[in-house]
Amino acid sequence: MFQIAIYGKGGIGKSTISANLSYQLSVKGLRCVQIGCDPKHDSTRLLLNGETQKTVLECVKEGSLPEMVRSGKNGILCLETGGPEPGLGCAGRGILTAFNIIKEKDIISEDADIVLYDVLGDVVCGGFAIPLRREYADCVLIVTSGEFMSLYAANNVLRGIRNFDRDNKRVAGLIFNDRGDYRELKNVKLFAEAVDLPILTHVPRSKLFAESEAAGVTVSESYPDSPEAIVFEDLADVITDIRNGERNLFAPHPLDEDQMMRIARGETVNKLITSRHERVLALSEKEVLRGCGAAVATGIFWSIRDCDIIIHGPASCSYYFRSNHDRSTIQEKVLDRGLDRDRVFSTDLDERSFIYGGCRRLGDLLQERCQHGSSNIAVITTCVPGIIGDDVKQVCSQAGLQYPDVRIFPVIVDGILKGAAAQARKEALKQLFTVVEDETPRQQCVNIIGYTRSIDPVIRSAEDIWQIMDVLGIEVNCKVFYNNTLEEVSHLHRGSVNIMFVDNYLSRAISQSMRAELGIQTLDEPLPVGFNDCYRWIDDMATMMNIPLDRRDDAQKLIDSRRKEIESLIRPNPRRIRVILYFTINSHIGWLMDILGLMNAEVVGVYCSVVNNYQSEVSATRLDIDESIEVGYDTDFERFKSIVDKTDPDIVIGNINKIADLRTPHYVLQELRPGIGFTIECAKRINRCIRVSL
Amino acid sequence: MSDLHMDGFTGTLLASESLLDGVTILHGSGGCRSLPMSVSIQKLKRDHPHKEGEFFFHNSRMPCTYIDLDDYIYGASSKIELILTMLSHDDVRFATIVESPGVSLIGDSVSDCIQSAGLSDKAVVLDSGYYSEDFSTGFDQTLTAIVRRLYPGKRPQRPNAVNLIGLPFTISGYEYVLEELTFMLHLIGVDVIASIGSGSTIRSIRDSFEASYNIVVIPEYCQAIGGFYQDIGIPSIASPSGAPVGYDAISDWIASIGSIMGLDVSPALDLIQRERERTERIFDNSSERVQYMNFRTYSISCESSVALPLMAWLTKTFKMVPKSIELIESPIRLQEIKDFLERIGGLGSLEEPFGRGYSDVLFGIGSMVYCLKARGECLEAFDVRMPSNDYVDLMPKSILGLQGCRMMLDRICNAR
Repeated sequence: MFQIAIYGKGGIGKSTISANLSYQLSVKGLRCVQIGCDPKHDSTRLLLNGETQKTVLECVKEGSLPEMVRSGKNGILCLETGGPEPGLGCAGRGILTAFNIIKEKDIISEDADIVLYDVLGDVVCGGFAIPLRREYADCVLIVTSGEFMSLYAANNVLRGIRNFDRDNKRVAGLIFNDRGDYRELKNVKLFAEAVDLPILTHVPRSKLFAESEAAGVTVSESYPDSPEAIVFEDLADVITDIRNGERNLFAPHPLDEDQMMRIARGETVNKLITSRHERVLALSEKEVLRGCGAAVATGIFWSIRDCDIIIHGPASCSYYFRSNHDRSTIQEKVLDRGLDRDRVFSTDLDERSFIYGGCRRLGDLLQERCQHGSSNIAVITTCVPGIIGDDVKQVCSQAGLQYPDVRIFPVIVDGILKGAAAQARKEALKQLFTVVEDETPRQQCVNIIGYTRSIDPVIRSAEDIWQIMDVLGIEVNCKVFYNNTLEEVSHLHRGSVNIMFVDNYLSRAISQSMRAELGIQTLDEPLPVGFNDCYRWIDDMATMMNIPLDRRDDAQKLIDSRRKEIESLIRPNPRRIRVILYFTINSHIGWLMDILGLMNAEVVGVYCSVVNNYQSEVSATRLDIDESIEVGYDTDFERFKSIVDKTDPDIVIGNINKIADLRTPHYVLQELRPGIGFTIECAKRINRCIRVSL
Repeated sequence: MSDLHMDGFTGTLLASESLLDGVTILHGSGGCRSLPMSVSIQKLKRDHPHKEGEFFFHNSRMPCTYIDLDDYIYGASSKIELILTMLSHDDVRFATIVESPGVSLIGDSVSDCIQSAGLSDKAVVLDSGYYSEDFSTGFDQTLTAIVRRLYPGKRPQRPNAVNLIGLPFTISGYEYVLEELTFMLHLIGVDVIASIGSGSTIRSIRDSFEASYNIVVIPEYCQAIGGFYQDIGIPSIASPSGAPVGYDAISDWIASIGSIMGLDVSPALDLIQRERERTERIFDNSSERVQYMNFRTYSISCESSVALPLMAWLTKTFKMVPKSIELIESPIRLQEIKDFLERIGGLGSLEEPFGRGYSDVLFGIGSMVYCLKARGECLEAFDVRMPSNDYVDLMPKSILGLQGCRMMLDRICNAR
């Protein structure tokens, strides 16, 4: 079986040429198959007496598989891949899917001598390049006229082939379809010479083509002895020669933009083999796009308990997001908080939606949820609708008009297409903050940013910090975002200032969005960790919020009692212990330095893991610690391991799970909590770690 | 409480991961990697050499091209070429390359890259990730593609040597089921060469072509692969009762093997009978407690071949009645289930959504049934498939096999 792909600009006459070529090849006794690869599905019309046939995609949709192949003139088997309506879905995907079906169902018998693919216009996306794949096309013919746009498209086809083949030889040459302008031949010759390809044939401009097409047949059939038919007969001979290995194929040498402009001006172009543009790939830990934006956006709206979520994407995405959520729900044992799973729905985009678009499914699901009484719905988009170009905003606004009482949040993050977690979080928060009302901030009232419940019952919820705030008379307006309602979110302005629960990437990102979208400032210092921090924090807050002296003293007394507890607990080790720390850059480690000091431990180095470019916008740039300690930034784990090997510390402490792979004794801090209780528990565990390990 | 089920794309990735000495290369975004990678690491016991840097980023499984917006627009063939260089390393013996749903729209030709690098023998490319299909289809079709690629040609068959098919490692406690079924087959003189889909190796798959028969555990997961082996002369044996769940179905499972292979199965049947008698004796001595669970309700969300024997066993043992039956993965035993339900007046349970309202005992997706139990919406919950909770299982916890019977009896009797 010899397979040919015929490419060229839309409207250049590929289908006419393909049908004539198939016809002439069949006259020579070859068993031919012609496959039209254009959503408008008219490639095989001239082989079927002017009738349009059902496309592969239509047949699959209707379950009428036998109808996808029709026998045309001289037994030529005719297929049309089909595709979506203009402006909808992904036509390239349609071709890809149709090809998969043709392959899976073994539609083309091994007995076929020639398979001819008539492919839509320019190589605009990967889908249209499918016939170029090695498993399909043994040879490629390019149809062009002498018009610049046609030559430009021909050059693009060469670029497409080069991307697949580099210097392999698969191009047979150009077919010049004359449009009737006397200058055309010169341009085609210039181009052919520049790209080092032969002009296989010159199809003249002739009324016979129009007449034959009106009759629904090829010119080869209606005027078999005409010069026009003989052109195709000769072309069929060329193909037979190529098939028999008696004629050469050529490597693709596309021209660059400047060279194409010279062709447009009618100038000669030196035969230059242009190199493929080499893109700089994002491969390193700093550059690579990790995580999924849609998963992050889903997490944010999941924490709003009176908001339904529609995930617009394939079922795998919803399954992945829900699994994340389920794990944390069970881990945290917070089933009482009402974060149940009945609120998440998926459009389950499949192969068909990829081709025809997923807007209808989304519209139907939105309608269904609105009718079921949902009052708030977030629509979160994955990669697929982003690629196929679904107009999700439009679908949401239509549903909004129909159901004015339902609040719909279009969260267009498109999976990873709009960046990583940081960018998706920003977009999700922007949407969420549209509910926030203008209000006057209350005195001594704060929002807590990035609150999470610990899975460790001993340090569960940082209880002592709430006690301290209570004594100081500081009211917590909203824990952002933890099991909130939209009503709570709408009153975010009641908090006069934001305080980060802990200083981490999540808290910083939420703070940044709150500042940008709502103008609510966040204090630089997060809630305090450890006794030294607590004393300082109480003073700072008392000054900032005009808290009476007696309340401040009462709060400090609470710390005094816990301080005694920690001092009685920690005995300095008889031998000085050497410690290396490995933390994420935003980590607050002052409290740890205090504890290690009490233990007679020397911190010989602090290293921070790599900050990805996608996170750098809200990450700290430096650690706030004593300058005498060696600090290493952007240290990946391999490098850190070699530092540990070289330094040979007694113990490694950090909040990066990978340190569990070290042979050196280590303690992994699972999570940081504010207050004193957490530090007391950590001190106990670090103490045990030292005792057990040494 | 509704649920979303794993789809064919996850099935594809996990089936590929079930090949212990193979590599799954994911051409897609990092997000698509997270879940299947962590499931593979957690569920399949193998060495996890430390992998840093490009394509791995601290995780030993499922290297990924981590495509970004530029790749979507300009194509990612350069990344594919780079990631495929790992196929030339001696320690990579076989790779399955899977395209994520999004990336399949770009039209990168992984197959062409593999072919031009002369690596076709070492890899299978799945450019259709079965994302429109159910989990079992993705799992089954992917295993079939791998097995087909590793088929070394006709081999002489070993009498009384079989493969187990239809036991995916995503079934809770699959490794204990595998051990137990292998032991039972050993009792009747049958050797298990390979268990396809529950942690096989390249070698065991190549050896699997010496088997005389394939023994089906859960038919939903092995329709295609069973067909492939059948075509090359290795027929499948499936029990008329479905999966080996409950003493009767386990006996039927072993009996059907004996009947087709012409073997004396009494040693295995004796083992089953002894175990059944032991548990019955415990029951007799604690009749009050057992009575406590009689005439209660149960709800099931699982494959029809598992649901059918499970329903029969619950009805027989505890006289329980079904509240909700949700069948997943193309229910091939639907009619028999309807017939059974009609006999006990429970046909309506097929219409009842799983997880809505109280049911005394639940069988379903681990995380879901544990949530329901924690909310007090059942007395006892059984995790039959992923996603489970974060529990690190060291005890046999599958509902299949003899150990499954004992576990279910133990927990249902003691449910309060």
